[in-house]
Amino acid sequence: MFDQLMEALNMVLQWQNFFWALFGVTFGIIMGAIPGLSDNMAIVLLLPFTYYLGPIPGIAMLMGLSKGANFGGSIPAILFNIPGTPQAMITTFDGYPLAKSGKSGKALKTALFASVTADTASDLVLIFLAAPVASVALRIGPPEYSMILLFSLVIISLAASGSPCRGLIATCLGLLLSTVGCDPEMGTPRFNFGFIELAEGIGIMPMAIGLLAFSEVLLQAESWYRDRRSGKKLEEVRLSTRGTDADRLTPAEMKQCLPTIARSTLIGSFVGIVPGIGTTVGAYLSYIWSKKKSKHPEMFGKGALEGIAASEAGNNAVNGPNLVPLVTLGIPGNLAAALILGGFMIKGLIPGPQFMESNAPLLYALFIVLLISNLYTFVVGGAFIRCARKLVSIPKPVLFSVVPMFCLIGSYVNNSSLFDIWLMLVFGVLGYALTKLRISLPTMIVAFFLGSLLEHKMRQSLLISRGDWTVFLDRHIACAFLLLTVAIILLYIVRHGFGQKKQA
Amino acid sequence: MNKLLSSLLVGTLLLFGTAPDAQAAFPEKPVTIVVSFAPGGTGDLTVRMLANPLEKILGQPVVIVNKGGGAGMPGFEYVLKSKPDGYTISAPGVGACISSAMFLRNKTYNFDDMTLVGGYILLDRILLARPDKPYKTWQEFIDYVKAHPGKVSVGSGASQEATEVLRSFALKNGLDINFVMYKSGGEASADLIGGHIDACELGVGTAAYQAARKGELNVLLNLGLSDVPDIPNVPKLHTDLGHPFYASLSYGFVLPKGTPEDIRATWENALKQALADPQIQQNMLKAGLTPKFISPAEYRSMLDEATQNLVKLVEYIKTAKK
Repeated sequence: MFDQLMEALNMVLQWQNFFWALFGVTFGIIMGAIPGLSDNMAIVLLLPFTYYLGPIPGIAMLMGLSKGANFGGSIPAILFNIPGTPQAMITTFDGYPLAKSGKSGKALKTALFASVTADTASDLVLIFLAAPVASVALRIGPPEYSMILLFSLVIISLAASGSPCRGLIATCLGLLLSTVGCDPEMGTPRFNFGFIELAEGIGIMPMAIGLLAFSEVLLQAESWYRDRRSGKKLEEVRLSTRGTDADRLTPAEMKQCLPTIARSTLIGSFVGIVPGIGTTVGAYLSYIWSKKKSKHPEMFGKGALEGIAASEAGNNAVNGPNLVPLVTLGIPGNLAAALILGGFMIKGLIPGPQFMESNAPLLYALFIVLLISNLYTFVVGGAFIRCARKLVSIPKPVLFSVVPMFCLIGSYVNNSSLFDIWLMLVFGVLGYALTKLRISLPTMIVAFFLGSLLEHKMRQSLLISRGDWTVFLDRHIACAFLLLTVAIILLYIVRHGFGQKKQA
Repeated sequence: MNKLLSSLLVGTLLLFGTAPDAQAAFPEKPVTIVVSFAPGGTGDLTVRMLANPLEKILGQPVVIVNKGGGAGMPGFEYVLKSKPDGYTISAPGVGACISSAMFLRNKTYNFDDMTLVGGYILLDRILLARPDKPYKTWQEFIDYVKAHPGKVSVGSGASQEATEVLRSFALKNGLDINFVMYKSGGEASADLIGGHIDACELGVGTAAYQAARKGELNVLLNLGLSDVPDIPNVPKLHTDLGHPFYASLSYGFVLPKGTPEDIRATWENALKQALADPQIQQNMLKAGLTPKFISPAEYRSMLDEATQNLVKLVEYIKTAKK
């Protein structure tokens, strides 16, 4: 163990690793901070390049990228209400209101502090608890998976927005959109309206960019135009003054956020164990739970520090456990993990059950690199916050023309397909209309994320049981989540009735 | 070899024979390999493994562009429509596109509309099960299915073709199996190792195959044509058991129709040389892939056969279901 650790340190302590991790974090923050360009895109762009580096520097860069982008996405979410990456969309709930009240510095620093703390904690989960986490992950088969997804969907549609009716509409819309593409069982195309581009479903990037970034630009441009015509003074995000309390996170506030971060790390890590659910759901569930636990839930959505902390901690905590199946079984849990696997394979190293035994030092080196990237995110992110504050002074007309441009680029580059640009524009307009109808876009996107997984896993369960629905009751974990879901619905009805009442 | 020599000879003659307006030897600028899948998959990785030696052999940088989505077809057809000058080439998708075109669009490709360079890997599908199951061999598995009709579930690591091949065998032999489709080999491997399904069909080179190499999973059946690296005595569905269909994916390089013969020959030669690189051989074998050069003529007949088989398979299942 000690020898292997020393060997790992020997591999890591080289200037290339530090340089490429730094490069990755910096590039990741920039890509994350530009709405329309995301972490996955940054990874794909730089991937060919990593093959020319050794395995450790290549992975250092990839991990730096994904960690950097994860934080970077919260910068425009807080400053402009436009999430830079889909996983930052929950951060807009409280980040933007706080920034509008003149505390942009405080909001950004809370996001950074929560991101890095939760990310480090989740990496420690990966390093020390990989084996137990993997054994839990293997127990989650299709029936368990379905019920966990159902549980998440119900929580999100009931608790997320003020009105459960609108929440359900948003969820149903998302589920409906997720049925476009291919039948998961038969492989036959369905609801694709004759477009071969829709054969694999609606692209998540064009959709998220359209709904989150492009529609927000439309909304803000409209209100800016209206305000200008009526001669009203514009509601602007004001710069927080340097050195004041509005610009920093006081130790008291840090302490106040810690329980929230701990809780969110727990939720995020659990979400990370179940592959495919993703960072956005981690953030959303953490946010909802923190709101429930908070002593002043009425502050959520109006600039609560815990809201920002919950969202950012929740999405970053997903990343560590997401690597567990890769490390233990050689099965990648997300895109970054798939690319790490590829990086190893090109060098003739095959992750799999025997990887841990035969390449232990390399694995330790990977872990050390993860922690280094976290440190970099903290340092570089801090530096970026200083510059990013000035972004607020960009004139609105300039911002409204630059962001759509990046939206176009961002939706194009993933598949180099013009179709995706049209898709993004359609979703931009749809997002505008839905926001006007006060239907929660994040809820809809999360339902879309989970919808195809839920269908897929439910049909798998029913195929295994040959159409016997008791399969969801026979399995302990599945049954527990089903009962929990029912209990939450009943509790909700008892507390709020069926009518559409304002939630506390 | 004769063909190669003659094409080299023709190439040389062309070079010197038409001296005044002679073309410089191909390639004189970087070449682009269009991979019709997202980066990180097995197909993409094999191309990237080959890119290094190809660069050395061709003497020009090799650029890899990923055009994923649409089950590999849009990226593949993009190359077929591009300029036939040898600078844009498709890999490794042609084999996969045949079956996705069949199942998604109900159409077939005509191989006269493209210039084949050659194949380089045959990727077999295998059936795996956990060692704690009561069946250790294919025969025992069949007996088990017969004793437990409708209770046995077999997963598929996202190969529609392999599932249909297994389904055709089950229909023919009266086996009552629940087939469960997965979105990727990784997802299916996790459920197989976790014991949620009774057996699973996956490609060689996946995580589950690596587990089988270590003895943590049993290989019951080979759905393909070549031997499974490192795991001996696996019966082959087509050759050993006489079933009319098989599931084996071929990776290869394809140029647009109308590419000059000397340029095609340069590519063929480069691919052949790259595959002879001992480092490539070693890395691919480690991953469970068997690299082997397949000549254009041989590749053509393989692809034709695969296409005909798919048409037959679809018909076979239609009639058997009635």
